[in-house]
Amino acid sequence: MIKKRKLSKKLIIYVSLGIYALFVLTPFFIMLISSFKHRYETIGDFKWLPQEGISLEGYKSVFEKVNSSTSIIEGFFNTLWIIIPPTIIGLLTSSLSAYAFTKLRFRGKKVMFGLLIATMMIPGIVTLVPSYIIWDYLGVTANAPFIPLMIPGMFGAAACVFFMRQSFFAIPDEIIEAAKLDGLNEIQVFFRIVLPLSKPALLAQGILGFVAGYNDYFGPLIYLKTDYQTLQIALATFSDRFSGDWPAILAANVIAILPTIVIYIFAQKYFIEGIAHSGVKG
Amino acid sequence: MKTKPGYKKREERIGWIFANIPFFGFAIFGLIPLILSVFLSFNHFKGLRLNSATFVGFDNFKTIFEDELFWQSINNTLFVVVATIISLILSIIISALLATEVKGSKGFKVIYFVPYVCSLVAITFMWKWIYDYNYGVLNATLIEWGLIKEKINWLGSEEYFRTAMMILLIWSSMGFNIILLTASLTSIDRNLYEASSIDGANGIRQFFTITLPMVSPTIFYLLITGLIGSLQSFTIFQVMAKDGGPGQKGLTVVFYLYKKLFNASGGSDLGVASAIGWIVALLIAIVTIINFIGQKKWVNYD
Repeated sequence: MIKKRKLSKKLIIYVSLGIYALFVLTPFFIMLISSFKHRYETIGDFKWLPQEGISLEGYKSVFEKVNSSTSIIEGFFNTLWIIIPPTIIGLLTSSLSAYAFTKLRFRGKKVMFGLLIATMMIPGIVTLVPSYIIWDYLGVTANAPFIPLMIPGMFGAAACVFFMRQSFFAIPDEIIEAAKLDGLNEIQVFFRIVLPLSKPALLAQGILGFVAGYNDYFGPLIYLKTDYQTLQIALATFSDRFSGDWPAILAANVIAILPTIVIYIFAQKYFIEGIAHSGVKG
Repeated sequence: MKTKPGYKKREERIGWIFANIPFFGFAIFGLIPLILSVFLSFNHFKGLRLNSATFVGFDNFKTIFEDELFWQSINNTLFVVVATIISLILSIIISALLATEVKGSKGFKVIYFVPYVCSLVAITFMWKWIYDYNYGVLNATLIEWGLIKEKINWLGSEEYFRTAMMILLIWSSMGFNIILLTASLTSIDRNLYEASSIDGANGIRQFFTITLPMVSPTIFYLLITGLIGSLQSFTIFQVMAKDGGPGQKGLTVVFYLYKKLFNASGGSDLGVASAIGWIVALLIAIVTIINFIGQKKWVNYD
């Protein structure tokens, strides 16, 4: 009797989790198969699988150069160029800051950390308009519009400092004292001891930062008004131009999400740890 | 051993500089714009030109509050807030099921997180195809199953646009919640459950007396960050309907701000756009304060 009840309880749990998994995955599945259909097959009654064989027309459209605007492929490389420097430099400056807050002695530490955390309370939406105007006034939006997307991030982010700080706390002070006795100065201790010991945390934050930058739409939409576009903007533009040509649109979307999916598959652990440890407790 | 004179001083100086790099960044790219934003909100400008300022007092705010479209955008944004709360509740249920540690729960977790990794732009086009009035899978399936007789215009009718967006919002936001919730759920002491089982409590009772109180700090964190995010939602709506959607049901308040800043037909209104930014910030502050006051009643920090 009890065993039977336990079994049916398990079944209910499985079915619920399974239904939700289907709900999550089905849209991706529909996108993927539809991207391989002939165009004429997508204008007619919906069929799950391609009826007339697989077509690569959609993917061909993605690689064709259209007019002067940024193609999906160009957009991909522009995105890398725009987001990799701030991701790496920002990670470094955030780590330096976290290092100072955990391992160096200086006056006013608590107050400064409080101030830094307080800056997180200011919603980005308030500074959006004035920031744009300042960059516009300086002539940057007209001549080098990618600058506002790159420079601010290089100074690090409070959330990242917070996360790295948690990780640096775990490094025993004895190791650092020993290194200092060996004659390493503060900067050498940081690069030779602290950073190598924090690889998982660095990877987690680096990957999360990269993916967030890669997927960003609002920033590039505000600042990049010329033909120099990031992938997300190129994707939106492409999809609007090819409106109605679903295989082409979906092929572009498949290509656009492929890099982040691949990163996710290989770096799952870092993703999930990076997120799980960023929020819990404060 | 030789003592190095001035060594402490060096550490003090280096520590101060390193610690404050992000704060210097904030001072330049956050504080200066913040101050300028106050000035912008109380002036009128011709286009985006800073030197065309004329002081107008609270006129920008008056203009906003008299604009019906603004109230529509607030209404739409509150709807996103509702979606966020529903998403959180569903996430709690799924996470509690995952925490029973049935075989394969790790695999389920990996699947649930996939939408978080994907760009909102791609996700939106993906769902646009699913919702397509003529050829989309949703209408085809619902008709096949006999649930509807006529095709539904998901994205083109005021009636269904919100439902369609709600499903998309919930679908895309649950993964993040689930990751944080399961991390917090697995840290609950198993002995608590055993003890209450002996006392005769069943699974549902345990969920309300043990599980929920134990993860309440995480729920609180997700609620706060989720609400702040939803009050600033933009991308999904702008990509789905550049014109604001049927009956402007897709015009969120940040989308409204965007249109005031880069309006093709009516020209840019810098003062008004800045003022909207302040209104959104004020809304966020109010929601956050209410939450922090309310949390004393239900968040458990033991």
